[in-house]
Amino acid sequence: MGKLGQVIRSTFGLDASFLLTAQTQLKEIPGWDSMNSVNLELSINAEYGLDSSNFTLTDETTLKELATQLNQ
Amino acid sequence: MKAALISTGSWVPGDPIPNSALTQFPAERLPLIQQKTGIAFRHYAGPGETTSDLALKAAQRCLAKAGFPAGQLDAILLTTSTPDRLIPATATSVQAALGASQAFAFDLNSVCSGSLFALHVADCMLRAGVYQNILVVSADIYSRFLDPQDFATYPYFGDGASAALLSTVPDDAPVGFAAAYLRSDGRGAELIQIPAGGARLPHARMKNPRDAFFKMDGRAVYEFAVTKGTEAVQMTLARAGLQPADLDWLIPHQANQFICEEIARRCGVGVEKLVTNLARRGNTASASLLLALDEMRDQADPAGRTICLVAFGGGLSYGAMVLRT
Repeated sequence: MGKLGQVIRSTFGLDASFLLTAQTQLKEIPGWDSMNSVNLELSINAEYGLDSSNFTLTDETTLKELATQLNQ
Repeated sequence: MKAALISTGSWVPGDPIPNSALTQFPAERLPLIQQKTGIAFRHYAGPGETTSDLALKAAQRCLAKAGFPAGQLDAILLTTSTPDRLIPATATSVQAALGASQAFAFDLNSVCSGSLFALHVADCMLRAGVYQNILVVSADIYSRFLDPQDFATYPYFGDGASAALLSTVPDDAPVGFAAAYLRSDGRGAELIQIPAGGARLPHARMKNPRDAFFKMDGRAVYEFAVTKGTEAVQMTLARAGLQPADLDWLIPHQANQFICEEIARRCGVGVEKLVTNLARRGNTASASLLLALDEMRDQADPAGRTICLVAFGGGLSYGAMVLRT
């Protein structure tokens, strides 16, 4: 999952043992909740230089969908 | 003989810090703090303030309210998970500053359940008949161990201290500790932690600087708190032979308004009996229980009250006590 995977692992403190795939939904990430969603938002702001209005984070958003949003 | 609560005291440092002051987070996200936790303000210790400084102020207030000389204390139990240093115990600094020359003093760490566990230990020590007067002091400065950039933890904690003086009373006294139910579950040890700074991971061996900060699995902790907090209250009331309607005050650990309300609801305790101060104080960790109790005692006459204290926290640890004041 490249850069996005690294951002998620760093934000949520995940080591390599937790498998991230294109189909992984945000709600499946350990520690995901409404508060940590803000942390992910801030990490994406910092790593991608994108304003929060450029992407949407929901419980059901998959990593593939998020990557598509960030690459557009 | 048995043990009774004689006096309480508390201390919060500095001015109240509103959510709006947390400018490291997007302004449009700050309303989430109060929406999700009920917290609107917290206090932070100043750069030169230590856990023992806060503890001392709370202890002094507690003893002053009772007109009790520190020199007559038999023991000081200090609860904290943010001690001044790993060694020596923070309690000894408080003991020296109070001039409690006859007291032995030690720290007790059960994270946010610490004050409840210490009250129970003190109760047992007094019931044994060996000691007569014990001071429980609870103090935490979590602001020193939170990642300022972590929206999932930083906004929710405040610094503070509280204290309770317990003394022996005759068995037929109308006041005293009536029942307790305490448990630990180490299978959940990873859910609430500060990974580095101990023997497991000394700071010098950290590879990830964020291991120096507090971390918590929010969803899992919420479920644990409401489930086990409810269990603790129900078990304690049963042991005391009481019904929820017999309580005057239900005082939970002040972690989250919705956890507190859910425990009250599940236990059949009316919201009018629920005591919270977290909107103004945040989560002050082990200090929160006695801080809420002390502030309530200042607002409403504590005489003739039947009170249930319930706590839950890292360990995992949880429990409840019923007392009459």
